[in-house]
Amino acid sequence: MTIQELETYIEQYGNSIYAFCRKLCMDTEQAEELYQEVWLKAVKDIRKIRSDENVKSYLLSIAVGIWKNRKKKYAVRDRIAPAVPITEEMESLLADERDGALAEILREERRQAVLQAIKDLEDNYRIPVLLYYMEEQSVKEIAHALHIPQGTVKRRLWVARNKLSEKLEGYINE
Amino acid sequence: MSKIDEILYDALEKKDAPSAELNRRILEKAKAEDKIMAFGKRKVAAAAAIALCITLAGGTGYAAYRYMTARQVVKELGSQELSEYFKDTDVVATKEAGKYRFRYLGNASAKLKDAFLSQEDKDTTYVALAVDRLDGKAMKEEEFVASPLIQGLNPQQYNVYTMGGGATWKVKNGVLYMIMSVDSIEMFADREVYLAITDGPDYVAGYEFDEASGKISPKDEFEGLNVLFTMEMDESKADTKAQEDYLKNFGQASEEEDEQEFAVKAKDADLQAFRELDFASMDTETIDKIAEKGDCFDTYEFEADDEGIFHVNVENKYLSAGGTFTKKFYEEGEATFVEAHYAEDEEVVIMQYDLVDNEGILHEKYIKFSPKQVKDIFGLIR
Repeated sequence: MTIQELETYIEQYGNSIYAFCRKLCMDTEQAEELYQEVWLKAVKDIRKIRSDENVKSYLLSIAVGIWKNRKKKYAVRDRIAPAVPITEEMESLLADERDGALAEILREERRQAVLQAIKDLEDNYRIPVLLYYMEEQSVKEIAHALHIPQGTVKRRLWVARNKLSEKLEGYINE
Repeated sequence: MSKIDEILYDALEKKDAPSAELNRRILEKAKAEDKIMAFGKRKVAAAAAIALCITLAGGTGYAAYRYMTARQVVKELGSQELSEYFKDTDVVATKEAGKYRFRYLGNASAKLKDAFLSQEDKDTTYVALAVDRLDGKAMKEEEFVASPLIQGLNPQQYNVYTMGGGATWKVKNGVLYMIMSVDSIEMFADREVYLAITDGPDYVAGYEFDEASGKISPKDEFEGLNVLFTMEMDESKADTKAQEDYLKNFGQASEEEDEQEFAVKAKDADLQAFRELDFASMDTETIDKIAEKGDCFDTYEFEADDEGIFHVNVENKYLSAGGTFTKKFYEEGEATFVEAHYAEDEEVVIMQYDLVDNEGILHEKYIKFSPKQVKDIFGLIR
């Protein structure tokens, strides 16, 4: 891959890959490290991409591969935290007296609860959820990225949705 | 869509993005490792080819991480001292206008030990910006005018030209980087302070000044460039008293500068009177007749480039000058930029005279006048 091509891919897919790394690692510093490793590995390996292959999907698969191999290094320490952590964004909204702030607070609270629930899933289920809902990859693309059959992807997504539905029952029945 | 799908999509909507600095580091690391690989048989990456085509067709333009930061720009354009006052962070704001993308990189105010674009020991505000083309082609040294504008102060009177302004610029990697300087405007931080960017000679024609609110905005119907950013100011530096003092003394400094320029008077009274003629108010026919009375000792011809820019470079016994000038500044067939410079050593006046002919060629002439030659001129203009 030439530097020009690397720049092109970073521009095209950088935001998506970074957002995915960020969700995998749940820590900015580790996400940046993973993100950097994805690109440096892609520079070496991109010639392996097939003509019919989705570049983004390939990059995501690199991210998953690196992350799995170094999971211990990227492990996030358990923290004692409230069930729904109060983020800076929420604090800022709470301080905001504009109309609609309450709805935003509630939305943010739900978002945090969902992210926590996804974080608590096992990797086999968490990664397909991230690829499907966040990266909007198809079942076929996820199967290719994770080197598993499409049927397995479907099953894991189905199981993940059930687990999440159970955990987030209160928000689903709103 | 089921409720669980709905809340999952909503929660996972992407908000994180890599910083420009992170992407820059990756590129630098890749360059350092120098991993340049062919795609082999080129069967590879129909998707990659599509991505490249999008870039070449100008779909993505010049990504943020490829820009120098404000600090790097200042260092590159010549002031290590000033660069310490600027941040090393990403672009503040971006706007597209015409065929360009304008990025406001940052601003800082300082009183430098070593003069840069301004006088030493003077509080000055500096603004860094970058311009590139939306079609991806490299920029040339095109002429833009960047000016601060201040809420409540009429742009016609308060702009870069009246507020001790200066500028320098440089093209690097296809991007035009510019530093603009003016008298320090930190004191106005309790008002809206704008950064206006135009490319024409009438640099405020594209902006509307609301006398009631003092707000300034771009005119929708204006056909030229009239970019307007809101500048980042440190409100703690706002100073009402300093504003009053500045506005009270405003205009006196430029009058003093004008006086200094004419402080060295020609010994011959006619020569001095010739220097003081208002050439801008004369028609071309009169200027031509005046020019014939002197001795033309130097002439230049310049052809504009594809962007309509004249790249002027002049050097003779009396002066050297250079710069880039857009064709828009000139009316074909009309004398423009007529000036008279006094050469004290020889007690002569050198008249500089520009004219763009009807084929678009810029003719620049230098004509010498002795005291005897100027005597005949006053009859022409009475």
